Amino acid sequence: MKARIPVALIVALTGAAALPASALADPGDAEVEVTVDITEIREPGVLALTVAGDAVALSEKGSDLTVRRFSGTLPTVTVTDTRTLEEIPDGSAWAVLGSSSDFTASGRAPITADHLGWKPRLIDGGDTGLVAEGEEVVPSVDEPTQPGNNVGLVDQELLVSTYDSSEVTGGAYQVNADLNLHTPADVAAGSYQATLTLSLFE
Amino acid sequence: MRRVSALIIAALVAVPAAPASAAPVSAAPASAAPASLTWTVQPATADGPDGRRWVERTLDPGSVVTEHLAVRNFSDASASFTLTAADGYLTDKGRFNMLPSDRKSVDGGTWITVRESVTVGAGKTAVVPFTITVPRDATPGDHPAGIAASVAGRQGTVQVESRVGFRVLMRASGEVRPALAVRGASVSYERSWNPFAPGELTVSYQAANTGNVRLDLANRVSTSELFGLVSATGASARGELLPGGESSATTRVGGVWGLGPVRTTVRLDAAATASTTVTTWVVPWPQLFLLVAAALIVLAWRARSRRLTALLEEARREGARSAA
Repeated sequence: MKARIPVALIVALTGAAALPASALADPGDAEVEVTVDITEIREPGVLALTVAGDAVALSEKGSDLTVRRFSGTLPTVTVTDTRTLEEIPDGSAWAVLGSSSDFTASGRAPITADHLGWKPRLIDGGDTGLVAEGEEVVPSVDEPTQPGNNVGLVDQELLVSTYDSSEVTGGAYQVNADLNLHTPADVAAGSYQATLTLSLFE
Repeated sequence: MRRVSALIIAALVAVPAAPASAAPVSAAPASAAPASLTWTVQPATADGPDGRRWVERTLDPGSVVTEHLAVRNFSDASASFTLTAADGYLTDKGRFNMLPSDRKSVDGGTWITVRESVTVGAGKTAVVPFTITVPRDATPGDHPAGIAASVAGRQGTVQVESRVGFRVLMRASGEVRPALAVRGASVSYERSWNPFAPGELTVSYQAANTGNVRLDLANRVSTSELFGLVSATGASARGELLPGGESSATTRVGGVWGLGPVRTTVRLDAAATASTTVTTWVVPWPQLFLLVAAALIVLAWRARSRRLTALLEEARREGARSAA
């Protein structure tokens, strides 16, 4: 908000300086008068989502005799909040949640969603420390890294959230996540697909 | 932060305008989704966004109303969005969401009808009407839903469907019945081994909304021991619960001495209240050890002084004998 004021100020100052200069100039001078109208932006702020892609290809890495491991990176997700304090009602809190469908391939038994885990990673959480990435969720075939977190993305898991929208307004917050699909080694070969749903609500 | 916000507003406002005028001939824009897409969805009137945070309506069973949503595309390319409405719920951590597209709605989500998709030009806003049809046999109370605009990939192992939406909180008129329950309260006590320092009690429980309306609750956990002489209170937590919803909470209460029976009361307050009391027996080992140690010292001291007295007595008798 504040950054716009100096710009407007500079325009006003140069505009004011240009007028007397052109008034005093000789008719022969090749001076060009530059005028610019900058109107104040009265647009109400918004809470918007940016996604840098809509698909992830998982590649196999680190498989062994008992477990096949595939990994990939979720496209970067950005939550932008340009609202002013007056535009945010008390107790507002936004969150991006994620859950996966089962992996299906024609003629194959599905790989259930609990085989997919993620580790959200905050790329830019601003200065307030009040925007946090969600906790790691590991695939069900793994040992938990935190008590009971080897459940996979079957439920709505947090990607990124804040507990108080008014504290983090006027910022853009970026997050991505490592995706890990771990299956038993005897999984049937096939071209599987799943849908990972990300939802921004307040 | 302020700087960033100004930059973003500038980007949101200025960037979409430039390509629109620079490339007016890109006639088939929606076929390929742009590399990066920025959008939002807001409640609206037929004229545009109206500043509401979400749509909240109390409606009679059998009634039909029309509402609007605005899909705003801040990207520098036009994009197609899928519009969906589904049952709304709160996750275990209290975050609002609506069912993903592969799950079938059974309640509020089925009341909303909206067209399947909308294409929005770069930097443009599209206002789309949607209708709410309340079934004639709708039960009184809240039937939460959400409505969202989403984009989804069509290739890759993991297709990412991203949605932005808002809540549509529909209340069927009739008797409002707020009700709450506390379930499965369990208490664990972590003692301090210093007998002069209190320990900490951890209380876990489930709060359930058993009524038919949304509740904003305040939770309070308090403990009482030594028959009410000593009490402590845990930080109160706030939470929102939708009808049929449940949330689990854990509260820590400091300053608990753990001297025998500890009564813990969990109390939920909203339009309705609910509470439960659990009594836990804590053996005050540090204090018992201290008492035993003190008793042993006293006994040892007594034994020592008795022996001294005996020795003195003997010495005196010896003295008397030798004098005689």
